[in-house]
Amino acid sequence: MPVDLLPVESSCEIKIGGVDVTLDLRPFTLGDLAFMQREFPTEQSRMEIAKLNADPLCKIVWHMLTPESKKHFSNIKFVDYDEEKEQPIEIEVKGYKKLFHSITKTDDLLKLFMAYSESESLNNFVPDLIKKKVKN
Amino acid sequence: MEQFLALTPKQFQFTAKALSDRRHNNRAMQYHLHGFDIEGTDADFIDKEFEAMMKSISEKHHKQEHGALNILDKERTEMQDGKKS
Repeated sequence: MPVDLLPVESSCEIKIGGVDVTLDLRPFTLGDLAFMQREFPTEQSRMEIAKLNADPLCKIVWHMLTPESKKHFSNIKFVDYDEEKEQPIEIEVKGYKKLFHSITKTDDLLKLFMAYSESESLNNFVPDLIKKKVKN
Repeated sequence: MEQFLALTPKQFQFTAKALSDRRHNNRAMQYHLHGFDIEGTDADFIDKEFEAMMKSISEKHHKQEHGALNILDKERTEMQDGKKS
């Protein structure tokens, strides 16, 4: 059976700062596989992604976002509440935490997970070939 | 290294398999060049053929060795019996 070796990209549409934006994910590469093994070394830590735990899911999705998609987060201002001054203050957020703080709905988390799993599963090793004993 | 990391795992897997197949074919060619009588380039077939050939050579060698020893033994016993001077 012929196998399509062209890298497959994926995307999802979520609401960021009240605006619908499309986030594009790169095809899952060996570099991402190495990132996964470094950041999520145990089976349990990888399972947290599948459980829609926001922190690890945002970390891997942010790593796989295209630079154009990351630009959507450049103009967003993140606000927290200062308990002492009793007024909202602007906070500085970097890296994957931008995505983490932008997510407001579980639905969006699910969309992120679907996009990640599409890119990961369609570009990852093909199980049948791994099982087959390669002689040499 | 960066180019390597930019491959998808699936691409890497199939590239590795293609290289492995080519190595198989190269080995088949080596066998052929060394005079082995092979009809195809299927690696399993070549391996079996090669093993069988090595086994037959080994057996032949073993027989020859034993044959030589038997002759020596025969000669020794004949000398002991005084049949041969």
